[in-house]
Amino acid sequence: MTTKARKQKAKAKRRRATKHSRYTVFISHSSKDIFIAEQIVKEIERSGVDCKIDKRDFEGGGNIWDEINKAVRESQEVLILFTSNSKNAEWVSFEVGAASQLKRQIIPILYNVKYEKLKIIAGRIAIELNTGFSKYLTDLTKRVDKWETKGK
Amino acid sequence: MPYKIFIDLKPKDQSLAKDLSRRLEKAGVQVLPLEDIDETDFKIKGNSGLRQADEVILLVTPNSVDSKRLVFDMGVAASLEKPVTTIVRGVEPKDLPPIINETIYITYSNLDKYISDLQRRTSAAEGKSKQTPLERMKEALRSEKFTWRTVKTLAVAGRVTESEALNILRNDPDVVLGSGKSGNRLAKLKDR
Repeated sequence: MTTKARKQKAKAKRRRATKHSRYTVFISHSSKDIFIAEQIVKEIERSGVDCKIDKRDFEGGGNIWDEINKAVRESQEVLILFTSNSKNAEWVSFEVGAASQLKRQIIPILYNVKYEKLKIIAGRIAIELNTGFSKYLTDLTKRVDKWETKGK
Repeated sequence: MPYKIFIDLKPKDQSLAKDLSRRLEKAGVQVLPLEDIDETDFKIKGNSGLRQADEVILLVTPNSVDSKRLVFDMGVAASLEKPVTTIVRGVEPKDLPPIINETIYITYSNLDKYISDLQRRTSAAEGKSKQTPLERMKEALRSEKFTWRTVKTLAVAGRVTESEALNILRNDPDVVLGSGKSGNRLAKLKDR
């Protein structure tokens, strides 16, 4: 393992060990895209940043609106996975609405779907899952560092 | 102050919304000016009725059943913690999107029951709070935690606009007005 990789691993470990409130990314996705969403969660958590995802983090039996609202409130950014399955998924529109109102950073991630067709994210910079996800992770860790330095 | 309702609708449902407004107003609630949903603009306007309302009604018809903006607004209302009532007309339950079908909604034919429930709810709330905006703002000024409060916060407590709050506070001899470092208007009680 290179020194750089070792340093990154140690940094990720430190982040995981922090007891205070932590930078969290809420993953919004269509239920049909759960496999891709889970891979995204794995990658983000590997870089030491917490994620919230409905299947794992929502309480069974709870009110879904309240659960989403709580998850968005407790997150610093909302990653929205747009695929051919989710471009018409209402829950995704609901989550974009909640995140916009709560002024959370919204990151649209596109997979096999055209940006021009997604009016709901018009004007926002979107990331292609296949080509831009590594850069997203790098930028995310920078945002987390900045957030932690600012004292949350 | 009357209970304020905002109706979220598609332009084609204007006449239906006007009928709904008329029936709601007859029941004593204030219906905020109708705003058409724009499917191409997903920005939340600062002065939107969605923010000012005590309750949001989403009008779901064959014109709006596929509207992404309607569901987006639903998310906005939920994050504002406003009660959301979905009123459905002319759409079969099987054709409703899960986000509506899985929650409690009202069909237009059952509107009378909703309105009488609403009347009961609002009159109970009014009975609980007969305070004037000034009384509500003064109560906020008596907070043990803060001596000075921003007029913006007091306006929320008084359920009035910021300029209305400023006018009310300016005319009260018990209140002192000031300005914060960032230019925010502040107020405190004279005896504190």
